[in-house]
Amino acid sequence: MKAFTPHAQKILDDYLQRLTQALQPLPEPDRQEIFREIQSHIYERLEQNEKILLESEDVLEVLYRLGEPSSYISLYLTDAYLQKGFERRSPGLLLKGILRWMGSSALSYLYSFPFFVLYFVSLLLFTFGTAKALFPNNFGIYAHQLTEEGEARPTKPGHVRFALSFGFKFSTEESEVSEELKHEILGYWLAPIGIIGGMMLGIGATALLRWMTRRLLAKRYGF
Amino acid sequence: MYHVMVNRERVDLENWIAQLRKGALEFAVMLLLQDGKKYGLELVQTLEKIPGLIVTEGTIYPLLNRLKEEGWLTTEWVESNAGPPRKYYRLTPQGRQRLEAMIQHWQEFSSSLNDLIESKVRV
Repeated sequence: MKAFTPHAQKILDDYLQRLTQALQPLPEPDRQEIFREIQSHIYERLEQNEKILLESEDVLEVLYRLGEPSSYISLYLTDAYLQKGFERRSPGLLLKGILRWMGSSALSYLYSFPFFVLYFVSLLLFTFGTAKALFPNNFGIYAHQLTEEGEARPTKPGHVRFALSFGFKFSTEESEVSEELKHEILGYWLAPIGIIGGMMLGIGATALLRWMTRRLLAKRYGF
Repeated sequence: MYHVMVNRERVDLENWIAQLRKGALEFAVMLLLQDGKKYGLELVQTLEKIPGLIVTEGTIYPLLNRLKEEGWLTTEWVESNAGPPRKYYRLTPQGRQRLEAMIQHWQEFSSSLNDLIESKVRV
């Protein structure tokens, strides 16, 4: 058992504190196991020093060679998210993994942003399709003509400038909905197209994400 | 101007070495485990003797963890009379099989590259 100068002890304690912090995002059993393993590494390295009273520089040398916890612990996170996300085809885990990749670099945000857009659009389509299927007479996507005054009116054939909106009507009385329904886009087709299209887009985005993950993993580890 | 170029060349060379290291470290770890179980620090202290292979020791642990997740290594905690228990790593039968394939591939790969180096040197 070695003794430490107060300063050396503080350096060691601070390091273990940073290690605990870096391990926070990992699940509990992994967290404890990694902590014990790193602690054992530090302990044995310090034991190899012939001095009885260890000073700051002795501790610093061991910790410097080991590296900052945030730098190497992030590798566990990336691996865990990417690997598990890949196996389970989970977009959430894959996106987390990409965000963790290279310590949340600008590049990883650049890579993941298009996927957030794709998933958002697929969710929107799916929601619209489901809403149309559940409430065929109350829900729809409508085209409006934009008038000079900026007022939105239902569009007529031949008009070029128009805006899209979606809406939900609580009244199903024919007189109130009929005019809007004339200019509804897709009509009842919105249900199958929205549901199937939304699902296909989601599946497609996940396939693309998995393909990219495989490339990232290959880049990290192998020839 | 001259020293700027030299720096860029050195950075470029370091990138290339880093790329080599990524695959080589995994290979070297598995080679070391061929003749029995070893713990993290034990692996690190052998690998340190190969120049450029280990930059920060901490990165060996996520790597070992990944090889375990892939099913090529198993782990066990063993009490040590010198202090806290040590986490030992051992090759699984699948890991051994993969290592054999890696060795074969490496030998073909490196001998082809060496031939290429030698033929260029002669010319």
